[in-house]
Amino acid sequence: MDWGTVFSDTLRAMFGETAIVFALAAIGLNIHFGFTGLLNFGQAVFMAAGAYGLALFAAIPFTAPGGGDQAAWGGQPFWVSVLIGVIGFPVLLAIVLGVPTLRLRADYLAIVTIATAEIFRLLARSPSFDAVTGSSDGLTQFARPFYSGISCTPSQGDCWFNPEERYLGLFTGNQMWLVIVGWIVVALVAFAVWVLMRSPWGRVLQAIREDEDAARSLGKNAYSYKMQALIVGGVIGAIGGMLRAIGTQLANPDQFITDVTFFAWVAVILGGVARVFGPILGSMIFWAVLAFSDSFLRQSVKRTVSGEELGFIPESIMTTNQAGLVRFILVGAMLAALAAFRPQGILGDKDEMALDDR
Amino acid sequence: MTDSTDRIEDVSGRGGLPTDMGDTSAEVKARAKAAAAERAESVADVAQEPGSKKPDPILVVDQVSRSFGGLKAVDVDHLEVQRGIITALIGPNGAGKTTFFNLMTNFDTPDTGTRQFTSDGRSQAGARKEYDLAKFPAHKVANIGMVRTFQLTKSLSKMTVIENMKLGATKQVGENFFLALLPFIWGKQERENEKRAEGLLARFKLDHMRDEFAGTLSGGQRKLLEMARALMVRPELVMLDEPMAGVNPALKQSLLDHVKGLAEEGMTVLFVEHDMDMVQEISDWVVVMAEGQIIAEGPPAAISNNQAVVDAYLGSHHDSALDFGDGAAPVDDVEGSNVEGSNVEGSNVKGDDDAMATDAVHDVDTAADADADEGKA
Repeated sequence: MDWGTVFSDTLRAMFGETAIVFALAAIGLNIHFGFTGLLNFGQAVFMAAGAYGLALFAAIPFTAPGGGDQAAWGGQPFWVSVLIGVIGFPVLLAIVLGVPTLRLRADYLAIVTIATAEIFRLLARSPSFDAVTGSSDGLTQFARPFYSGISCTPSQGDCWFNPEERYLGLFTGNQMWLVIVGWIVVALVAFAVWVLMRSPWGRVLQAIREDEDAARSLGKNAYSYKMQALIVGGVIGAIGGMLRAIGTQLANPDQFITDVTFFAWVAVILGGVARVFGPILGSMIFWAVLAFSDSFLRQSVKRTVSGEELGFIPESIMTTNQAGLVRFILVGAMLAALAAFRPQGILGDKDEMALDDR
Repeated sequence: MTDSTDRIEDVSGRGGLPTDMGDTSAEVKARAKAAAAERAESVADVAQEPGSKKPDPILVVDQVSRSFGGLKAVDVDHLEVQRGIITALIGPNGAGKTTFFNLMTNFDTPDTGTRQFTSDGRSQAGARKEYDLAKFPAHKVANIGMVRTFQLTKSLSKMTVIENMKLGATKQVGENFFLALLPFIWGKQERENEKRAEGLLARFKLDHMRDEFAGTLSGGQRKLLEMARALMVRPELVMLDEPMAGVNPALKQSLLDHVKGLAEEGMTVLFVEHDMDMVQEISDWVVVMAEGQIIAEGPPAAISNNQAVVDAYLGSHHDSALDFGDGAAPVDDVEGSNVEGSNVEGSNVKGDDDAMATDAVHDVDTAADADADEGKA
């Protein structure tokens, strides 16, 4: 058992790009569900809005080897595309989702969001739009401005992060740059949410979560505030999705499947609903546990590496390939244990939770 | 600006509130009595019939109806609510009282009719102004000076008592998303609101619960909190939906004092209540609803002896109160029973039980009957 590898795999997941992306998606969901009581089961589509907003417009157009244009909408300036991805698309999406559903009960939004996330994914996959979206291959070649000038090849002289070097023993130069920018973004967003939730604006959201009619009777336009919350949470999710596209240098439909939404939900519930730092902690722990169990199980399965017998779990129980799936079983068991022993999440308040039962 | 601060004082100041004044209880009682007499005086000349004109109505309702399927829940020809007094809205279960509240505050939209609210400028900058309530969705109604509470108390469980209170303040700068990000812009207003909220909490004896979650309050305390929170709006018209339901007798008395306190501060109170003792004690005017219609109006003493009301609502027999016969209009049937006198004995006995039926009241009784009959005709 190589504990060093297990440990570094775990750390990489805990602080790496994925944890950042899901922390942001979960912060957004926490605004929706934790603070406002909106049931958004389609956070993946907000993340996709961020990723595709950037990729559609920033990608460099080219002609495919078999003929036909690719990335047809591309070639726009990087920062314009970032703005479209962070503001334009998610705001538009939130309005489209919110206008018909936010006057109704919470479950209508849930149905509409989950459907929209799937519709978007299927449209993005569709060969009909191949010229624009790259269909199932997705889009590439849009993230270069993010890395240019920061990382470089050693021959070109001084640069902040050398792509060929490992930093902290965990990240390549590009990854390190993304991780630093990513955590700064998470910190700024978390601070903004912290300020907002202590403001009268945040108070109205929480009042709507508790009782919409009471808020209305006191002169608060519940519909407008729910829309604002949907937009703000969606924008934060879109930032997460965009960082995912930048980190993987790829925007493709399979990055935004329904599982993605529910991983973000797990992060919210794990960390503690309606806690500003809950989603961040939840995302870090969720990915740390996944990476730890994956790395641990892979190393525990009996296998032969260059003539040497390693591991102790016989193949009759689990092969290396299956280890990747078994980790989800373990994570499921962990969540069940959490629900039983700490339903309020890591940062949650049990007394507060008990108020629901009254 | 000076104006608005004056108004803050007006509502948050404890003038006229028995509990917080250093005066002797005798002086307090005398003052309260004088205020009550003044309120009664303002409606002394009003005809005791459904839809009667009031000298200074704050709320005028005309031809308002609302049906749910085949059921006409509310069908009010005309109703005026006098400014500055405590008006009770009574009636049997299902009479449409809560629906009527919902229609007034736009939590529900009437099928027909007009509703007009006249502000005297207390809660809004400027002078007297008339508002057509059809143009004000529920959340805007509070901003023109009308606030309501709910039959099922809506305390915001997972927010602290003080946060509940601060929510009630209107025109908060920090409720704008972008300004909310800049605490130094809304900080001052927030502190002012907090101070006012603390004053109200002290008045409603909830100050020791300031930082507790509202969900930990008892049922009675929640009623108090809801009323206190409504006052944060600085309303002109406070509409209370069964403020005394499920509250123990001692707390009931304190709630009564609070309601009276509102009127003494110049607010208009319209409340739904089933407990006739309470209605007798605090209301200056009573409106009776049955099957969606206003069937009687008058001062409390007259109402409790109004035969139509006794038969429709107060009468001792549950069955007779609700059974209006085979499709006959309710009022007709009430008249019928009046003629037969079938219920008269029973209801008078009830009156005795409630220690309301003094000789004087018996005199009013007859007068009220006549009035009610006139009204129906």
